[in-house]
Amino acid sequence: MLSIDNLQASVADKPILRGISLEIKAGEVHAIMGPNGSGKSTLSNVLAGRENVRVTGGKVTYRGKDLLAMEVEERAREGVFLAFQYPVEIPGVGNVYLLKAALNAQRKHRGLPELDAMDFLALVKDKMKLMEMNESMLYRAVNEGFSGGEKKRNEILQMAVLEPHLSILDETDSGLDIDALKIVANGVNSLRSPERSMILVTHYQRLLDYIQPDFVHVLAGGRIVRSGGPELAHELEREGYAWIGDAQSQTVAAQ
Amino acid sequence: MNSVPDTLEEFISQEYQHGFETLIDADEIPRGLSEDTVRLISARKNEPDFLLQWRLDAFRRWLKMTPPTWSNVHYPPIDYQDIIYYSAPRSQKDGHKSLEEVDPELLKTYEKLGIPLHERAILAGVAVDAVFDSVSVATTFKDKLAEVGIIFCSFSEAVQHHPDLVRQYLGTVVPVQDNFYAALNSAVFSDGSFVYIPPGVRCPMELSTYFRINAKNTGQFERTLIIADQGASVSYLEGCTAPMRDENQLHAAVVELVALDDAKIKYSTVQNWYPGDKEGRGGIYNFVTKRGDCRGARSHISWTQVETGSAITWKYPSVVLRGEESVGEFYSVALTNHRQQADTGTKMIHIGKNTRSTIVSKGISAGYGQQAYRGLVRVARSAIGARNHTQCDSLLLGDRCQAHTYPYIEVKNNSATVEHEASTSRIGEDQLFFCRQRGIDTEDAVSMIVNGFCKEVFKELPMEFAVEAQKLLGVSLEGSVG
Amino acid sequence: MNPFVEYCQSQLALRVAEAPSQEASRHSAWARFENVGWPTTRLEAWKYTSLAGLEKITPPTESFAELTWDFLKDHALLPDAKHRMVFIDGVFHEGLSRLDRLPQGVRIGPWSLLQDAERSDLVPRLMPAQTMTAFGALNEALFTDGAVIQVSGGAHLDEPLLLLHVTRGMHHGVQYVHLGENSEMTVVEQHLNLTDLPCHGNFATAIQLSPHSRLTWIKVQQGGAQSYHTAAVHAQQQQGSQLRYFPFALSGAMGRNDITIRLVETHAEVILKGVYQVADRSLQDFHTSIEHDCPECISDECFKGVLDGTGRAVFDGRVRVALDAQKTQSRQSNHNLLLSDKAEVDTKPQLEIFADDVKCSHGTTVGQLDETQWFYLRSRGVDKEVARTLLIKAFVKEIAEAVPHVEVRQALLHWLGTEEEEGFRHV
Repeated sequence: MLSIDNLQASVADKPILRGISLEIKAGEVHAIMGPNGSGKSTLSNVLAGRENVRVTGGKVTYRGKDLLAMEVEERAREGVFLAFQYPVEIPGVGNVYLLKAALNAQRKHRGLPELDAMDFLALVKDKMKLMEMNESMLYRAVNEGFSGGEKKRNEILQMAVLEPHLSILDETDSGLDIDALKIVANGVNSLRSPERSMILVTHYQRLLDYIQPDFVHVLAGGRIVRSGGPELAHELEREGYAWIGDAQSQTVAAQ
Repeated sequence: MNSVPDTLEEFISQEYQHGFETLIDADEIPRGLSEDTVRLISARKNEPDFLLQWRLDAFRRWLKMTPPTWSNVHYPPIDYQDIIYYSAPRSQKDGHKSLEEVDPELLKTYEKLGIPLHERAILAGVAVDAVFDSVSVATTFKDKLAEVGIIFCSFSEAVQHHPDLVRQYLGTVVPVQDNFYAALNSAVFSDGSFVYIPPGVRCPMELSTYFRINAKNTGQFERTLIIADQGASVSYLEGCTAPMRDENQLHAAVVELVALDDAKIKYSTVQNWYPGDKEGRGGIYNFVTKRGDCRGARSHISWTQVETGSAITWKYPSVVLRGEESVGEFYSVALTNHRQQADTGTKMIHIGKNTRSTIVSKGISAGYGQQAYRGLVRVARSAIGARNHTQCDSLLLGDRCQAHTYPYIEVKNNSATVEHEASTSRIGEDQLFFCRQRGIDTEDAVSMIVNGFCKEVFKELPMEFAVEAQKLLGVSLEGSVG
Repeated sequence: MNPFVEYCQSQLALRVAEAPSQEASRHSAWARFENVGWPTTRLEAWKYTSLAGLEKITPPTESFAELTWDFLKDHALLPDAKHRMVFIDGVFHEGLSRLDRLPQGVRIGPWSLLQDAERSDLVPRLMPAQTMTAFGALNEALFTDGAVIQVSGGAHLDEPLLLLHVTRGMHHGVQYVHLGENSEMTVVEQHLNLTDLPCHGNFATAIQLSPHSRLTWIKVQQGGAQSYHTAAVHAQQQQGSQLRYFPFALSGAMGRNDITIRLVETHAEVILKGVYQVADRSLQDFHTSIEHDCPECISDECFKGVLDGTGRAVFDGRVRVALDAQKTQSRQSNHNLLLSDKAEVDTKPQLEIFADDVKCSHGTTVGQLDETQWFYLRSRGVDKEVARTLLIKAFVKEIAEAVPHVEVRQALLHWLGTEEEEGFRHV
């Protein structure tokens, strides 16, 4: 599905990612954990194609194609979905309009006919039930005046409608109360399938109680300093990130 | 005012504290203005010919100009022939050498004003240039500053000892024909301060000028020129007072700042000229042109002003952002009480790439005071990536005061971001009642609200000045609500 | 004297000959115009707006084909308007208009069909709009025709009135509106040129709102490459009256609107929300003045501008709160989207406050499209250009959405191309 090879990237000329390599197969869920400032969000942004992140080295192959050569919208249509850490408010653009435009852009890209308003609404309403969202939110402007929890649910709704191959969830759990977290996790879990992969970017173990990852990676100083199974997340929860300082210096020393 | 006032109505009526007069023998030239006056002033000051010619050029241009009428201030026409353009304490010769030579009466005056000129008894770490009517009477810490190559002296001295620097920079920020008052100043300016900070030097102490108008019927026309060479930085303070007189006196100063690459100039003013009495008699007409030129890349010029005095204030400290990534700032608190009028604001002219400017203007209007914020933010086509943020708030006390906002925003570049916000609100009797019911007296409540309102600006002032400014606002507001 | 003024002067004699009873007022207006003089950029009110283009034009000599409603309705914002007045080149066109279904208490008709006595009565009432600018004086001296709207107390015009002006030469027109106590109506004023030849329309609108009356007015300005439009609007609002005025300046070489709204009695409310769009070689200029003369009135003003190509826009918005106009609430904002590096905006929001117990604010922004929003839309697969257009439309949509009348709002949203999601609401 996704193969990241020695990826390096900078933001405002400051190197943030210093050589990341990661293999994600179809159907796998990978959690990327790490302290603040470790480069987690930069990794999400670089995969989605954010322009303020400059790739300075390395390769990313997505379903056999060079991901980094694609435009933002092309990646989206190819099935890469980023659930934003801070979903953007767009006054004046209806939520339902965005969903329909996005879905049809993707269908067109894949050579499928566009959905008419009736079929589209039936689909969206179905997904909204899953996310326990009020239908009225469809007709409001994108994220405008939404609470933190509503915004995050709206992200997952978009994900559910677009059915991406690769979903990147950037700190989707931040700012959610426990009930909202369960709803979001439920939405995410319903999308798990052998054809889909996910990257969960998170600071805390909490989200992983509801969405079981297959692999856990710890990111620090722009590198993956440890990888393991779900048990690694529990270990982090118990011991925090303090040990990373040592691990990092060891990595540096090893190099 | 002995007892604590109870209502807004009672609050505010303390007299102007710096209204005394110093009796001193003065060397004055006759009233009136002509080419001869200009020649006379230049001769008194033993100036080189280039400066005389420069003054005469300004004078001839001034004759063809008319006073600006676009501002929202009202005053009877000024008779420019009825003003004395040069007045100096008799004992004081240009280029004073040491404090011992300064007339003891003058030293007393400054002591009374709280401006110590004895270097030992000092506001720690502040060098002062004291300007009395038309001349500088003392400059402290000159030698200490000279050790690091800083020139801090009266303008007259700079003309004598550093004519090349004067010639290189004078009038390059505010050209002689810039406006009516600037042209007048260029023709007849008498003294002022001169600062040059050499490359890479951070000025080790605050520099300051203290302006005092004393003589009757005189105008004060001082000229300040500050140059911060590459990588230099300086913080400069200016204070002003005048005696209480029934007739209006004119103060038409020009301040020019030049910041070269990576230089930083911070210019703070606490302006407390005599504002006139409650009925609007007397007071200073403060018609001042202040402008900074961010000539170098990454240079930074910051104006902070607290304006509480003057019958009429007309001034727009501005920054021309020429150098790439240069920064201009303007922080202002202006208070008008009784019959005071103020038309003040700033101009930020963005020319260089990625230039940034910030404007924070706080206007407080009380009594019959009237006040206008007038600002210009211009983004030239060349100013790619320029940013400006303007915040402009008015606080009203009393139902006969006025507050106006006239921002001009001219944007010729689509990569620019310009934001302007303004609001107007009041201190009401109900708010005060609430505070008093909670045990806070009116005076404290008003000062609490006013200080909160001005906080953003006060925090930009050097510490000693911030305290003084807060006190000054408290005093100036007394009696403001009727 | 420039060619434009020369042409105007040649028209004066014609107008006087047509209606000798107005000779005096037309001559004195011309004298007033000469006294004020042709506006130049040396005047504060014209600082950013040069009339160099207008100065040179004279009306085209071509003759134009007769217009039919079948043709016009494709251009009309409300093609099915129940009530409509059509003015072609400054003159009321009875055949194209439809005023036969007006409810009781609503009197709408053209100036040209009024009796002399009625005209003399109206002349002073138009004056406030005609004394605002040099163009107002020209208007009084030269106007040919106009709409006269009088709604008596308690009456209610059931459906919006369409005022359609087609200007292909150089013409001056008036509009007079008087709403009686507690009456209500919606007006859509639309200006078209249907030609790329030089033309100029100059309008003066006087609005009087009696206590508790409610007027909604939508103005849509469209023009060709050499079309010039100048207009002065003066509204006076009595107690508790509501005015909602929505100007949309969408195209044309140059447009200048001077809008003055006076709130002369308590509890009057005004909503003034407009859009200007400029592209290559075009300019739109809005000068607005809201005058709170009395306590406890509310004003809410918002203008949004989209500037592309070498387009220029000017916004000069003044809010004045008079002495004793306590408890005034006033909001003003002006937001500009600069889409090209050659566009230019000059904006000057002003507050003049002479009372202390007031809540007033204004805000202005000038900027580009929001990068984060753009990225967000693209990350959902929306095409780059589509996302851009979408964000531009979303920017101005807010103004159209404030129009209270449903059909007019839908028509406007459709015109601005922002109606896409409306479709879903009916599913």
